[in-house]
Amino acid sequence: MSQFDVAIIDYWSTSGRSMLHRAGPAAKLTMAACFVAAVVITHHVALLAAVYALCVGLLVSARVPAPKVMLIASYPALFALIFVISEWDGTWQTPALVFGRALAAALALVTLLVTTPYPRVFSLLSRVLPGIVGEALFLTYRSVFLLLDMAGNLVTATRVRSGLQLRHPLVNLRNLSLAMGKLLIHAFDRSELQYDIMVVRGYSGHIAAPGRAWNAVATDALPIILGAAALAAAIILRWIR
Amino acid sequence: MSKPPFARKLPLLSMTAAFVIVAMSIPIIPGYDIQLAAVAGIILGPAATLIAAFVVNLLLALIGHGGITVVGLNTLILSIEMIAGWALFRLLSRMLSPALAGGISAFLAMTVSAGIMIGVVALGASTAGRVPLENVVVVGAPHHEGGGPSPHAGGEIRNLSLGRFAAMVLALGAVGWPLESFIAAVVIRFAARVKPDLVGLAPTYEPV
Repeated sequence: MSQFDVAIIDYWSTSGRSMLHRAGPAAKLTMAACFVAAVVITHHVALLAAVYALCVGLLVSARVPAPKVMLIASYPALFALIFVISEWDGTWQTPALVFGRALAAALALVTLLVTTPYPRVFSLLSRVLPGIVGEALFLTYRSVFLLLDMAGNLVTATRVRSGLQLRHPLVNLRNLSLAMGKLLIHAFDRSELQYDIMVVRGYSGHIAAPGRAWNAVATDALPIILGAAALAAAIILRWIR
Repeated sequence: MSKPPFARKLPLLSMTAAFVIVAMSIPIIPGYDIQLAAVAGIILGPAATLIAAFVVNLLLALIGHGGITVVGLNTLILSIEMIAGWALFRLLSRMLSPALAGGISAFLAMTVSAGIMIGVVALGASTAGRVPLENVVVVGAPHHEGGGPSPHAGGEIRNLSLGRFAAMVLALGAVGWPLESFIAAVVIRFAARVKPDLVGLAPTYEPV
């Protein structure tokens, strides 16, 4: 994972003004769920390719840099490779199905997150998750940004102090491990501070989730239609097989 | 002021879950995402690990670094790794230095989680050593070395060689686990010196 994946995803989701950005989070979550369901159901490489292409098309129309998003969502391919090697039968369909499923499902979710600010996605998820889990989700995502910032500074400081040298990988390992230790202590201190601040602001075991469950807007139609179409195609192809 | 019992732990839980995610983003070992799940388990203890593991897996899935359909299974495997790390550290830190106890706990915890993951894949086996992939498919991926894709419904791929799969997982683990264990040992030693209570150890000095 690149150090800045989370930050850049957040930037794209909040800075965009496209139709997909303006669509409601529930509609986009429905679309992502339908895409993932279609990917799970289908046995057809062509449909996997179609779902992937649909996501790319949505990203382009949302004016989000599609190649970068595709790169972020390609991470599962590394792990799919383990499965492909483990069961390859000499045909091209097997790796295509395994890679296709991994990449299409990941891109469907990343498409959701790069076009929807995280508080709106988590607010929706919080309605179906237990209260403590929903709150942990909000706080963890926020904490990731705090720690990413600190981690970036620590790595830079280690580099500036010549703590990272190409010729000495073991020294690098030790110095970066120490930086991780320092990051952990910072994280602990921050968590104490965060709790104190929450209590001062009236926290008594519950964080209010913003927004309404479904505030329908006209732009909701597109993601719902696309998601339903992909799922219907997967069901029909499965049924006539 | 009365508060729900878990509320006090929520910021630490969230910060520790974030630490696990951020640890993956630091390029310590090229091509290998360290996770430090055992360290997280040692800090949080068994009660909070399940929530932390779920939150980590859900967030990773949402940013394209994990499988959304296998979040539950990955949560189970990750939380077992965390709990194993915590339990082993509690046991070993009575006999060994914190660094050694941390390193060994992390290594054994990763071995346990890889064993469970291979076992889960093997559960789908209809014949010895072969898993019908009608029941196994990659949708996304788990997040750690030795953590291959998990069983899931769907797919028309014929067979998976469990032996080859396990060999690959263990071969990758043989490289990654010792390095991650070393990192865990250094992190635990640092934490034990600066904030021993964070890793469940008594302070080695008298407070002024």
